Amino acid sequence: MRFYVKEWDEVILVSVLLLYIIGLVNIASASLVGVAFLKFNFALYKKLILQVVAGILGFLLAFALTKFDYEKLKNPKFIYSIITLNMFLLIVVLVIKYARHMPVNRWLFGTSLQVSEFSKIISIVFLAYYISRKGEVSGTRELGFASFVIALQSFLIFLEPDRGSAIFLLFIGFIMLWIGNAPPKVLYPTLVVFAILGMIFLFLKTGSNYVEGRFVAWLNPFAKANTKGYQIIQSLFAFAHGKLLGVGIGEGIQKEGYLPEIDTDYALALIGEEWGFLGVLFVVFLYGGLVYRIFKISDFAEDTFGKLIAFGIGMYIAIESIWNMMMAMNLIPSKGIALPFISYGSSNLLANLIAIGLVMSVYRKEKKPWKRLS
Amino acid sequence: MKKNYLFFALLISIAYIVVGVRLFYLQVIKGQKYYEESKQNYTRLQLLYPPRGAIESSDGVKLAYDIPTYDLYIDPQEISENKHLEKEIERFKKLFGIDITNIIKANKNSITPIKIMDNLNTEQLETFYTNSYKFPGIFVGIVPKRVYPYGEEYAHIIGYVGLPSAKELKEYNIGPQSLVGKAGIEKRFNKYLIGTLGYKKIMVNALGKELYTIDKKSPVQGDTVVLTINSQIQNIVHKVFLDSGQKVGAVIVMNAHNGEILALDSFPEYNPNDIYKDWNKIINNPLRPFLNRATEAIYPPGSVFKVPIAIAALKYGVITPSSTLDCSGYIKVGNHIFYNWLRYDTGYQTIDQAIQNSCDTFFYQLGMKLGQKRIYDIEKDFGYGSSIPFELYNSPGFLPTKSWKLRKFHQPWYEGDTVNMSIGQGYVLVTLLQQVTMMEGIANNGVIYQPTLLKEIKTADGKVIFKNSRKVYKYVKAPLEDYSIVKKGLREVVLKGTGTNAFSTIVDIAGKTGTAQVVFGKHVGPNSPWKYQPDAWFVGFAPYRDPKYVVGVIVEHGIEGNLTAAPIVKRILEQIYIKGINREIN
Repeated sequence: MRFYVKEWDEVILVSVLLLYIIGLVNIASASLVGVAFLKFNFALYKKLILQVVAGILGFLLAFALTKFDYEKLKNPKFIYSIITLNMFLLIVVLVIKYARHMPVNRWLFGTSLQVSEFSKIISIVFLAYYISRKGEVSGTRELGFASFVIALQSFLIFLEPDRGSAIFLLFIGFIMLWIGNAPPKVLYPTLVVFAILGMIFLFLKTGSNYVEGRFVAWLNPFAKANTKGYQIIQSLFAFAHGKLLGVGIGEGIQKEGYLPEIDTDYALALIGEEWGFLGVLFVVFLYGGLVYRIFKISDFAEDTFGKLIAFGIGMYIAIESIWNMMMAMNLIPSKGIALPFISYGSSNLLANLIAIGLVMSVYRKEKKPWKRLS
Repeated sequence: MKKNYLFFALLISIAYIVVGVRLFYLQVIKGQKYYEESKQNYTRLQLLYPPRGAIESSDGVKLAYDIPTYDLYIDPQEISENKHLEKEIERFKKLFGIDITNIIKANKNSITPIKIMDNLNTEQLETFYTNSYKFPGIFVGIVPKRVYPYGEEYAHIIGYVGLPSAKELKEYNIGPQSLVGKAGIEKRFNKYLIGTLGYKKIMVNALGKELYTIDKKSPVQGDTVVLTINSQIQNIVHKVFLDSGQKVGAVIVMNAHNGEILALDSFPEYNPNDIYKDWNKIINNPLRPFLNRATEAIYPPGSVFKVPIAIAALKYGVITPSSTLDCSGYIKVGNHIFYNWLRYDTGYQTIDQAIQNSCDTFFYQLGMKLGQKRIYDIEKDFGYGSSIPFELYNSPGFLPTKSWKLRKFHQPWYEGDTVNMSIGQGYVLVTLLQQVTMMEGIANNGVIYQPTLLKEIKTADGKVIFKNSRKVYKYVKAPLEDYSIVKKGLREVVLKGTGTNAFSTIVDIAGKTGTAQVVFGKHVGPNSPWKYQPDAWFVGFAPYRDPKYVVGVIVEHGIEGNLTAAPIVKRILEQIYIKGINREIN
């Protein structure tokens, strides 16, 4: 039997590139509102430049990771040091937050590095390692410890506060355990603990963040049109404005200050307005294809570690994109999660591209029997 | 793992399908509906207010016009986005001495520009323009303001403007900031003065900042209303009355050739520029400055009323120009005694002598000979007892009839009532405008041209859209000789009769004095309080041989026509001739 040897999966590459480019166009459209392109102004182009730089860096990292043998990650020293570094940075973020009495801080070095974005990828690799370190499934105690580490990270992220990411981490952690065939002795207590933590993270009142207000706004945004419902209504209006074919790139009106966060959490609304129903459908199609390919890679991976990494990353991209899209369309209550590859945010983009690099690395080592060469 | 993997794959597929379906629902099915709802967010209709039309005098002086006033506004975007706002406020304070922190704080969430200063003077405006680069979010807004350069002088003709009421908003095509006429010519010709509202439909961002214009219609300035008023004569009237020392009264100067009002003023006046500032002061003033005493106020006519009766007596042959009647100190009707104003017999007089001396007993006899009906008819013919078609509201006054008296007092009409009516006492009430109109008829031998204030209406760029022309309001048919006799009598009033204070060496004035009691059953002497003193009239025309001007004056509580009203008429007419204004008027 001869196997087809290939370093790249074109579907993934093309989808990611397309999504990234759509994201760039989106950011350009949102930040260069009503500005003559001739006059260069760094403040206006800042977001676009940062996203381009992060994208180039991310793609280089992804290429490097593709060549890299992911099985070298299956090394306790590396795993412990990276998870320790991650925890340390999360704590540094919190120290900065409390030392400077900031209501919110999620970043290091000003607003350039959002640690929690990387925590998600690191946690996936960490869980994949822990589940698969002794063959098929690890022992109860080890898995218990792994869940504890996830819960701790999640808690640190919650303190920032970044409720969305904290809950997201718990969610993906539990799915990893479940898919990794963790024994019920670990799985069910973890489910209970994670569920309780998730509820606390979701409903605990801190500062001005009233979660129940968001629920009310979700059920009927028009009843709270001036407060919590405002963003949702503006998002719905953006989609409505776009109709089937969109108003055209750069022609949208909602970016004129009507819809806050239009280049990050509500990026899809801008696409909906300017590209129309068909444009958004194309984006959904790209995500679908991307996730399908990653799952396929997971299915054919050589070992459990690779399978789990690819699956975790597939789940991660799927949940993130679905979560964000459903939020923008008011199918679920709003909670800030970025749209992968499209939303503005260098940390998120870098983390996502690193994840794609890991998936590619898994793919490179695979035998590819379904594409036989004659 | 295989099984779980498939489960998740299925879940994710469903989720993506749900997203797709929801999208279809939002964008294709509900799209139009949501879009319609959202539209009002993006577009804003700005009303463009036209300047109100000007009001001009016949000699081309602007009596009312709009000037732009400059206000300073701050853009709300500036408040939310400028990090150096505090410094900017500080700089603003240094330049203008005004602390705007509180205004900004109070309007922090406003999406429309916030007014921070209004009515900038030239100096302030210059200061702002030279320093405007320091205040990126502050801009100048221009609002038209109504100006009456002559203030009080024209208050009772022009009236004043104010913000529209709910009814006026519906009636005219105007915006809430439009100024509408509330009184006088401003109210009467509001339809022409108001202009046409323009609009600008703009696309705005969430902070209300203009992005681009979708649709625009320029406002059209209101039409200019040209009055028949001569600004120089009006100025003379204003000054002469105030210099006479009288407080309350009214003056009308009319062109006898065509009924055009050359001047009209009522005292006390008010300043239409400061109307809302002075509002309480004006309405609490016991002299009631808002009352237009030339057209609205009604008075007993006094002896002026005798003039039409003289015409009637001659016309119906009750008396001939050469026949005489005794001007006794009193006459007895039934068992009631009616006195002359001089309580002794002044002998037999012809009708022109009776006018000259304003002999009451003479006219009592004429009245009794004519009867109530014919007195009523002749007075009605001369314009008493009904509203005159005029640009300003004017009272109809009152002429009593037999049936009215029966209805009102359940009493028949007595001979004594006729006697009273024949010298303008009793129930008769008239306005100054009616007196002047009557005198116009005498001056023109029976032809009464309709009094008017309107000369023409033209567009802001000078195209005449309406030109008023002379109209005959009434014609009182009587032999020309009768008018000559009466006019001779009126001239003698000034030469040697009851109105000698109106005698002028510059212009030949003829006219009739009137002194109308305001309290009855009480003796009023020179020492009685001001408010019990009779109202003084003088209504006359000049020049005697070719009447050109009809002038009427009422002085409330002026004691006697000759004492207070006649000198005012004389001075006004003399000034017109001295200043040569006479030559400008046809």
